[in-house]
Amino acid sequence: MIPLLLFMAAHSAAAQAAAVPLIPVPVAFLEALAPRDTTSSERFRRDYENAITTARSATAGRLAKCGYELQTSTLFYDAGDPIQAREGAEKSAKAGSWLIVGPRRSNHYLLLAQGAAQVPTVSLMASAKEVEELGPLHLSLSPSNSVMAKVAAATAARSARRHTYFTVVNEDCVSCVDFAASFDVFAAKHNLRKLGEIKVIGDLPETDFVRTEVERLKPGVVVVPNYSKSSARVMAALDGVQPNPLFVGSDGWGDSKYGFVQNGENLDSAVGLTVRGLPPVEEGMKSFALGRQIAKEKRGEGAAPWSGPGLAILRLIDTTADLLCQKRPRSPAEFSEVYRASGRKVYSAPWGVSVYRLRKGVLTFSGMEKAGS
Amino acid sequence: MIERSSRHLTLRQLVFLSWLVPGTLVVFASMIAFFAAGWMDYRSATGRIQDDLFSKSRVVSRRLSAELLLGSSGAAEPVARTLEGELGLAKIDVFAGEPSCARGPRAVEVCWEQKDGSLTVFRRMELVKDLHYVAVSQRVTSYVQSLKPSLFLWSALPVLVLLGIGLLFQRRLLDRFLIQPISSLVDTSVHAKDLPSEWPSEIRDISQRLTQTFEDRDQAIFGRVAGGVIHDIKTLLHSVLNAGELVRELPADSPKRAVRLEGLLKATSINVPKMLNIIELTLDGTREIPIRKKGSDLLQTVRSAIEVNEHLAKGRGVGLLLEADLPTKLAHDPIQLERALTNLIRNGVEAFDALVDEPCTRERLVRVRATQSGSERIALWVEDSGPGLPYGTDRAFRLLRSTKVHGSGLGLFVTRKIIEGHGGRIEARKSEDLHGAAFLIELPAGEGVIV
Repeated sequence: MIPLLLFMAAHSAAAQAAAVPLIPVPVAFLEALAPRDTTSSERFRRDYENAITTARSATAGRLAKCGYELQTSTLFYDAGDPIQAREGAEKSAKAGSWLIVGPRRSNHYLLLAQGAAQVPTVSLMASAKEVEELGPLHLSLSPSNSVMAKVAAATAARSARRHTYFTVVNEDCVSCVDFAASFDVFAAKHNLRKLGEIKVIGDLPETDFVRTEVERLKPGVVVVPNYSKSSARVMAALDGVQPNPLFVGSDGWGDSKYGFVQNGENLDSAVGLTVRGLPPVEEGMKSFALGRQIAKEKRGEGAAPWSGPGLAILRLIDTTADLLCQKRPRSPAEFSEVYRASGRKVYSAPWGVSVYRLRKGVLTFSGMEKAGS
Repeated sequence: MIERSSRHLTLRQLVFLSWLVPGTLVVFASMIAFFAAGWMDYRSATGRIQDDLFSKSRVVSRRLSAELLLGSSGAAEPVARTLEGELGLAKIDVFAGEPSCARGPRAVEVCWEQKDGSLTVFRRMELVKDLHYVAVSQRVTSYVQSLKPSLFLWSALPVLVLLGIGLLFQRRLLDRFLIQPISSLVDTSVHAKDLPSEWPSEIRDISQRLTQTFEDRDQAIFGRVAGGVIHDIKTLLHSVLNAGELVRELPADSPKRAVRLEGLLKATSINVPKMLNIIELTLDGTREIPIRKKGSDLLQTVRSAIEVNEHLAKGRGVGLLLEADLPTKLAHDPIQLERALTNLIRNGVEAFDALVDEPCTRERLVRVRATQSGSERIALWVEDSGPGLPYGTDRAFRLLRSTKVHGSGLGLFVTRKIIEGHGGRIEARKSEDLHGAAFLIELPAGEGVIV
């Protein structure tokens, strides 16, 4: 009898819920793809969209009970045309998006925030200090470069045989320049002495002069805080340099699934470490309820996310669902207020700083440190 | 003597000229074609560069706009340098304000200008807060630089080569089938040789007609000369025959027979030399007359010629007059020159035979004058007050043109040969004061002239 009564009560609630129209919550996802790397980009895109789909279906029931329905839209644009991030954000803002999930790169995210200044936005991985300065409506799931550079400097100081370093940084990458500057601050505290710096441009920078300088200066550490393609090119150009330096990267090297450092050409002898705002997927899924639920229920390729960004999307949507159900905003303006008040607390740096080691062309998770530690 | 005037063009020159105008036009046209093709190629290349720059400027504008929108965090300058290499551009610039080509009543989104060997496209950076333009430049070759030798090879050179081949081919063709046949036309026609089979049919026809004409003319000349000579000799022979008949009419013992015998001798002594003279003239007309010059008294030669004709002139009531400006000694053949003058004087005397039936209105006079004609020539005039030359002065020396009652027409022909053999010239005119015929002989003074 009691189960029957319970069933009837639940059915009645669902029927009631079904009878009340759900408040649509449009969430726009904007991400850059590199058109020249079609295979890798296509896999990333599928994984990204799968993550959204998985997260939506996993949170649909919960949101429906709260009276919401998540409506997602996805826009992939050319990474070589970053202004599309701004244009996409303007379009999404005009279309009435409550939340815009922005691109990983700090450059692109800053432009996106310009295009949707009054709409809550969040980046999956942007870490430049300029992102922190955007204000409470524009956040990132990643720890800041300052936090990550602190961990990187400490780890490099422990790992390097010689306490000197040389920096090769992409001048056209805001986050890369920011990380390098932060590293300089914390490296000094760990008695790491800077020998020099070279600024490069683009994904395929000129590297002849880099090798010449590194061979001349013989640093113990070479800091390469750039995106994965550029970092892999620089490290490959220094293949065979003696003594072999320790490479240190920021959150741009990619992971074992996406990027150019993992299994890169001429990187078998490269030894390095990188810091990221995302742990390995398996580790990350364990840290929140929805992640644990999905990891437990759905196995296999294409079901659960297999990359860091996918993990971040899962966490993001889960967090958004919680925020909606807790604060019950009825309109975009109300959501903006809620976001402004609580966003930094619920969205920022859920996983701290993860350290990965590069050895024989393979990136391996080494450990995690909490943000701010 | 056939004279070639320097004013007249040869056939080869005419053929060349016939090609000169069209050839010049072809060369001119091919050069125009070359420059026009070069211009089109230049415009096409410039247009392609312009189109390329238009599309690249859009990429550059958006990329640099992103950097400028990031403010101090942006890296516009290094990104611009990288894009120059990636897009193959000579220069990328960003500047505030409007370029000169963009100024106008309405805001211009994109414009271009070409100067100093570069083509530059300016594009407005729409999203950047203040008015900014991005300028992308590419080097362009000038029109002159775009005139590639290969273009000349493909446009003008084939035309010129074809023209040259055509000229060469035509020249050889004309030379073989026109110029050479024409050059040898007279010779072939005169000697009645076999015509080469390769000659064009028109020239073969002309040659055959010429051969026939020459043969007919030879026949006609022979006939007229023979007729004239035979007639003259026949007339003279009849005089001798008649005198002989008159002797035979009388018996041998007749006292009048001696008188008639005397008449026969006289007729013989007068007419036989004449017959010999006619024969001599005829022979002279067909052969070269040897001129043996020696320094002789010209006036004496003239006087001798006058004396020979005195009897003839007296019989006709014609006066002979000699006017000599000065005595001269001249290198000449006295015998031949005397023959020539004798002939002219005799013609002048015998010209009055045409007036035998007309009343005598003026004095019958034949005048010979010898004057110095400049420093290098001696002029001899033989003039008469007779009826003049009916055929006109230009035809006086044509063979067999004679007005004499008795005459074969060889006289003036042989006279001219003698004068020309001396290196001189003879000319027929009308006498200004005597109103009859006048013959002017000019002889070169040469060596041996003593004034």
